[in-house]
Amino acid sequence: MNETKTSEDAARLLAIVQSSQDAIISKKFDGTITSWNAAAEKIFGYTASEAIGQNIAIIIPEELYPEEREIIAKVKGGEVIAHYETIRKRKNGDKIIIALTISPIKDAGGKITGISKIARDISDETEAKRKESMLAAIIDSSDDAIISKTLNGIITSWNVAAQKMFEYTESEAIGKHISIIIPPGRIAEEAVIIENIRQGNKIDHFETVRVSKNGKEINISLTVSPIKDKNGKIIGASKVARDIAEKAEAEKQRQLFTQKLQALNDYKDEFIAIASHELKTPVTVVKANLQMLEYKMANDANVEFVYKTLAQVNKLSELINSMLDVSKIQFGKLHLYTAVFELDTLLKVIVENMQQTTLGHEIICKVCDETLLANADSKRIEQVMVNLLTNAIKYSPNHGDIIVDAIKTDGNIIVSVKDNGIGIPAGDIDNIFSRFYRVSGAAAGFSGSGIGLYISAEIIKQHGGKIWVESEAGKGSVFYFSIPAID
Amino acid sequence: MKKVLVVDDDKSILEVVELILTSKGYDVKTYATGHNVSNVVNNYDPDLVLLDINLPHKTGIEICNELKAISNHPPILLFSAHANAKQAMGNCTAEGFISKPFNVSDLLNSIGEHI
Repeated sequence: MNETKTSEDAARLLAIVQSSQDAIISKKFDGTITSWNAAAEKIFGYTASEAIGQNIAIIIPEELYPEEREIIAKVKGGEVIAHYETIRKRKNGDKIIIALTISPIKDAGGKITGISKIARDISDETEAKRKESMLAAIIDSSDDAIISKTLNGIITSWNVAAQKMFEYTESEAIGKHISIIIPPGRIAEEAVIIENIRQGNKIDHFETVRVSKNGKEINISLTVSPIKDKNGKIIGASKVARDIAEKAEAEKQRQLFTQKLQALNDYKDEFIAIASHELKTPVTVVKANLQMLEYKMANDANVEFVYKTLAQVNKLSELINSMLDVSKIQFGKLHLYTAVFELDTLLKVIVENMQQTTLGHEIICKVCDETLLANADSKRIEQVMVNLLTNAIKYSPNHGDIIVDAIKTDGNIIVSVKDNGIGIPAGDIDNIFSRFYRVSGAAAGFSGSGIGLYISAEIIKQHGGKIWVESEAGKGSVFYFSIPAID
Repeated sequence: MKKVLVVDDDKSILEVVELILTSKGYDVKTYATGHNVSNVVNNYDPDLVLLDINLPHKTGIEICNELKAISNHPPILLFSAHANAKQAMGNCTAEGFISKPFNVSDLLNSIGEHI
């Protein structure tokens, strides 16, 4: 080997080293840097003059010193370490990811005298990889099926959720046509979707049905977006399919509950009807036996107890009838048996009868002698009047007169029942004819089921009439009802 | 002695009605089903039949119409938990109607009127 040749080789090598994109560094075993190329300057931020003579530790993060010692030990043994990824420190303190290739430097006699290091900055590469793997992880951990396909419908990617949802593995699905998951009846949807994608449109939350490998139908919400290449050309579509079975299930449940509730309500009404009816037999027997006892004990002082019991049995009996009326109203079976009769006469008879059982109140019937003909169910009208008069008496604890009046006006007869009782607070007036409604305040001290006025209102309504009240708390009430009159 | 046939599927009703009517001097026969009421009427030959509407198998209305076919049939009073007589009687031409629960005096008056 002549000297000229050697110096030419050395010059060529130097040129290569200087022009390399990789940092090429040599150092002694004690770590002293002996050479430092241009790329090393660029990657680590130290100039050659700054670096040469320094210890290599200037570019090694402190926590990696043990690693460095291990590497040196290996190289001393003649080993070459290739593409070893680790972290180094720049002059400004930034950490960078590098791939190292470390080789022993031997002298002419083959003795290892130092170490050469080639370092490639792979920070950018790693970042891209990291991003890619992060995206892949996101896609794979998604509960939504994420699928991409070409504009011809050929599946190009298939995530974990897609495998689970549609039961095809990634390798089974990729390369197949998307129609493998479309039910036969919905194939036409795909053409519409693809047409939209071709035009660059996104399809948002399209609720549809897809089918799995095993034929299971899946309710999904589909979002389909165009995939564009670097030049903005649309090359395919990404599909995100969300299983909305839960939503569909919730809707189904809601409907089921509504049906159940409806059924329960019907059962309840039916129960009231049956129970009330069944209660009548024992009440009949109790009442008849008590009445027999009453006759037999006519001359016995203890008959008083029988009277009291009978009075309660009668109340119970009325209550059962009211319950039956309520259930008839609920079933739309409160039928009227109408006939033409003299309402004025009926009112006078009712007032007379009520007065006989009322000691504290005087019931004044102001109905004049004019005949008031009505075509109505007289039994039901009597029921309404008894209810209104009973209420008038009950809610006038300080007695006072109760006035019953009836006038004919504009084809209607308007009947009124006026008392001087506790009245109704303004806030309760609108609800007073509702089922089971009980007035609060002063009225709370009076027992009652809250169904009397409801039944009365329904009876009047069925007659094509109206029922209403004018009242003020503490000043008494006037209840009115109207029914069509007959000339 | 006037004879009254009482038909009701509830034994306690039969007992108390029998008690009431025998105390007033009636001869009473009670019958707890809706089957063969015509036969019972033919054999017992009552002066009045007190007939419940809600009987199992056959309604009081049907029985009432059957009894009406018998020549010289006795008057029939229908007995029902229905509050409304017209509704309860339907197209039946019974002589009268007594709603449950009844007043003993109303029951006796009604029977007295038709016997």
